[in-house]
Amino acid sequence: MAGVKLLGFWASSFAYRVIWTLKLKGINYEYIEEDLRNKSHLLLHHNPVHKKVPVLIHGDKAVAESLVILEYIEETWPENPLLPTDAYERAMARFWINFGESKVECHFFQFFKSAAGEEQEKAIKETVEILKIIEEQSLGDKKFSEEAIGLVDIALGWLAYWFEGQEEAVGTKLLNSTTFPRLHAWIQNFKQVPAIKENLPDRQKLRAHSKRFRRV
Amino acid sequence: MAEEVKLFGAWGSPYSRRIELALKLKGLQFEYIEEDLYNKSPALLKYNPVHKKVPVLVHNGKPVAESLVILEYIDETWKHNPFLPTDPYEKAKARFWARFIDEKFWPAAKKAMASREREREEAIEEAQQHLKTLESELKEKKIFGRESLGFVDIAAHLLVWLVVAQEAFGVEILTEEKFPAVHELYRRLADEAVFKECMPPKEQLIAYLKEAIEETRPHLKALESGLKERKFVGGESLGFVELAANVIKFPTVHEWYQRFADDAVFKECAPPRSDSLPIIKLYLEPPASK
Repeated sequence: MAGVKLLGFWASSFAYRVIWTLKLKGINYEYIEEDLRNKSHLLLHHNPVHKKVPVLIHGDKAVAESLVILEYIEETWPENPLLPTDAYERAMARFWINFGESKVECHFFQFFKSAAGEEQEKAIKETVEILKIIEEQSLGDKKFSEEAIGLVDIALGWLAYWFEGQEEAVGTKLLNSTTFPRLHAWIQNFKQVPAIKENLPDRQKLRAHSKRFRRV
Repeated sequence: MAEEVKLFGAWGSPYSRRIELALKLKGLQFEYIEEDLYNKSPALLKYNPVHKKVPVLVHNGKPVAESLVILEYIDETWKHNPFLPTDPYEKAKARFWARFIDEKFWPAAKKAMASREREREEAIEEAQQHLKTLESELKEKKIFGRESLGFVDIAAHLLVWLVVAQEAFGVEILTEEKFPAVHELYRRLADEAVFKECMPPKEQLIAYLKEAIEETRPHLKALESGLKERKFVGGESLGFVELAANVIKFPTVHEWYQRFADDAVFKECAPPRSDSLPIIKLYLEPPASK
């Protein structure tokens, strides 16, 4: 069986998606930490298009883009499935995975980087809108359970841990048990899953990193 | 049980046409519902409450939104003439390139069309960087543009829109000299029968694109500079701005509109959107031919 390597970065929520997926599937892999200011030849060779982490190297095959990697893992190691078998349910899952992804890029990043004042007001408003959509439409009546953890949870996992750091850096708390009860409950449950709990970056280190990043 | 397949789309949208293409490649019967994007139907809003966009596929009453998600759904539900390879690695590559086209290439190309001067130059450069990437991928590995047309080819169909838009706006991004392999793919897609069926007539598309951007430009430019000198107070151009603000970036105008739109008193006194739009549409429609 060909070996599995993961090129990642300790603070990257995208890399962690892949780590969690590999752990949940019980797949052995070698983790290689990348210095993003000094990218390795291995990274540049295996992801020449984007030059980013994470990259999964399976034997002689390299897969880039975290969501593409997740689907690749799901299909290559079908045990402990993380996507529904029904085509419609899968389409729903993919919809929410993509929703989280596209919103991270524009809105949450805007929130994180926003300067105090009008810019921030606007960014906060948009972030709250998105959280509302996730709260009301994505989570809906879904009862989270460890057995049911899937790619949607993994794709949204950054909300459970990285978002806090962003809120702190910006200086505003948007997500709590009163404002978003379902989301809050989902976060608590998500972080209790052993594969997740045992695989999270150091909190203090991450906070410091977020703050530094924001200043740039 | 009879299959009921509906597609909510817009004739000018490459994303919407992509789904038509997919359904035709699978030989499926479907009902097509044309959406007026400035006056969205209650059905569309019901089926895609999150994004309120086309395309939306409704299969036996169940809606699926987001074009790449819909493509995968179609491929998984109707398994003949598959778009995606069965091998997980080949599939991963197909997904990677489809995303690249949608998330990197197309936004840069659209920006190049919509912007001017320095911004346009930068956007063109970016779009061409991405074309370079596609060019070398096509040359070396032939991930797409092979014998049978698949997932990435369907995504790449928007190259045909690009070429039309290039003519409409006098911009050069994709040329045969610079990008022979991509151009060849474009030619194949433009000439392929099923793809041709799913392309709006060229002249019609050029007119639509031009109207949407060019006609409004001088007026918006005037508004933009006027607002900077704070000459404008009234709100008659409200719907007009909103209509075009999605298409091009006139930041000051957009902010001005936002201030009006959010103001409580203004809201009370503003005509309902649906009333002002017909007036604006009348303005934008070409004169009736004799």
